[in-house]
Amino acid sequence: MTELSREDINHLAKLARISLSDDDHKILERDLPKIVEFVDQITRAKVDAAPTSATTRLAELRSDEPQNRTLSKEILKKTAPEFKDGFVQVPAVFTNNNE
Amino acid sequence: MVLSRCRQYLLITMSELNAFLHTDLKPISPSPLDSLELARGNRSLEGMKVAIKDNIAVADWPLTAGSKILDGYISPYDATVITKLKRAGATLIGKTNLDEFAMGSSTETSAFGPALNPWDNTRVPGGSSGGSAAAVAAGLCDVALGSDTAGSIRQPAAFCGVTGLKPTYGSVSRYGLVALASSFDVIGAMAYKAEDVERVFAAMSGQDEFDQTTFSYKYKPEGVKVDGLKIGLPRELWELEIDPEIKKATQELVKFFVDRGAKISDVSLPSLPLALPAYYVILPAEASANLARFDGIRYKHSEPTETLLERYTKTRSVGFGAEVKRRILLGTFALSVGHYDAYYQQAVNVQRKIEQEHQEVFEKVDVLISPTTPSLPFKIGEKIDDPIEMYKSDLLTVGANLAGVPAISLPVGFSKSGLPIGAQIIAKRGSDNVVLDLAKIFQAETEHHNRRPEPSNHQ
Repeated sequence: MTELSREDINHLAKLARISLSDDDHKILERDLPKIVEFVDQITRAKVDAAPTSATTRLAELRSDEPQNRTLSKEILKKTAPEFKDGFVQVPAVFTNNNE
Repeated sequence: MVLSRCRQYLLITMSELNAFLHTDLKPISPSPLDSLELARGNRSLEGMKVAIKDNIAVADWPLTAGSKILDGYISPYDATVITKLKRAGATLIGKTNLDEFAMGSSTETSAFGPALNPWDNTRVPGGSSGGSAAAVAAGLCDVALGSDTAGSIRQPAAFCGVTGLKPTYGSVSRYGLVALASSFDVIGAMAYKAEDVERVFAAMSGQDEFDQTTFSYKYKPEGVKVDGLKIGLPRELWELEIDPEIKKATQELVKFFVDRGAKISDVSLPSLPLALPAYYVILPAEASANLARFDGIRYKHSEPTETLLERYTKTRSVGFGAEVKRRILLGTFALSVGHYDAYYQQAVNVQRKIEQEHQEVFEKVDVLISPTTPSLPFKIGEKIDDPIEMYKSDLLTVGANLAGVPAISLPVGFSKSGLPIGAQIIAKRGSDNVVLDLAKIFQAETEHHNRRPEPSNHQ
């Protein structure tokens, strides 16, 4: 069975861009190993490599052409948290620490 | 005076059941532009009051998906299903409560508090489309839209004594539906009568250029004959631990068809016991990728921070609830180096095997019948701290999602304690008309779908 340590959970959280509170940790350390144990049964199942399903599921693909759709500034303004001088504003990507 | 008392009663049940979010919304009636369409003769939904699960985009209405991370976000556009409902003349009356990002079977993971079951308000209405099911059951709307990824339409329909269709994957556009697991998500309708579910499905199904997984589909009723119909009873589902009252009521449904000339046989889908564990690998994997877009920049809600990286992590930590975090981390685990082949690839193999077994079984029988849920509606709080127990709510329904086939849950009776019981009819891909026809035939001669909760249960 796959073990999931506190360190493993922290690493997964880092990859998923989530920081965890102590409460989050308590819940995840209790639940994640149980869920992994539950799904673990598929790793022991004898199943052949998957037959291609794409043909049955996606019977017809649409033509690969760009659609003429525009996103107005007004809509962007409404949905973005910060908007300045006609641009969506975000925090600095690089800081002095990175230099 | 009578009218205002009615209105007051509606407001009480609306707030007490917590079936609706954003209760100050003004209903949207067909616009003059839509009236042109109506004048052309497509009036199939005129006058119908429809509630919309709050993970489906309606232009200028809030869209939260039951999550704090979308608090304050107003949808800039209509989902394809909404465009089609408006064109057919439906009136949209509001948005219904759901488990956060449709992750749950009880609506208890909603950031806005759980919805309650109108039949007994100490119990859950099921989920994730629990608000939709409760709204229909309490008579607050004629029809409600839900979405079904593992049972999220059928399980709440069963818990609330209404009819709910999970259509064939790809028959209804997902454009404008907040993505959970894109390989399985499908939008469907819930109502007391299968006839109303059918009307809405007929209006909203069909190919859509904005969803490449849709296929050309045109709904037409088939006029199924029960005499000679071949019904399969999947051994792997009937052998599960199921409440005896639910089993008995489902057997009554089977007997109804047998009495009218249908033939039954035991059938086997050997990989079905692996459906739920395989689902709990694929779903978190897809969900963790789909929810990466909630970054504190694109969807209004944002935590103030110095750097961009902090913006991501802080917004997501504050915005997502416990179940969402659980599934994102699980998906990140299943997709990470060293686990990908053992978990994700293997789960996909299992899923396709299940799909194949369904294709084979539908060469022998026309439909499958089983109970919809293993248990009656459970108490609020009963399972929320035990994720595996909660996940098992979908044991009987998840197979149809992995196979992409249509399935309908319909009311087939009540427990001695007065709680609703649902059973599901499953058919092959594209045979949504068959399951709808059979539900209509059953409802034409039975009364379960005409029973309503006592107002005292939800006052």
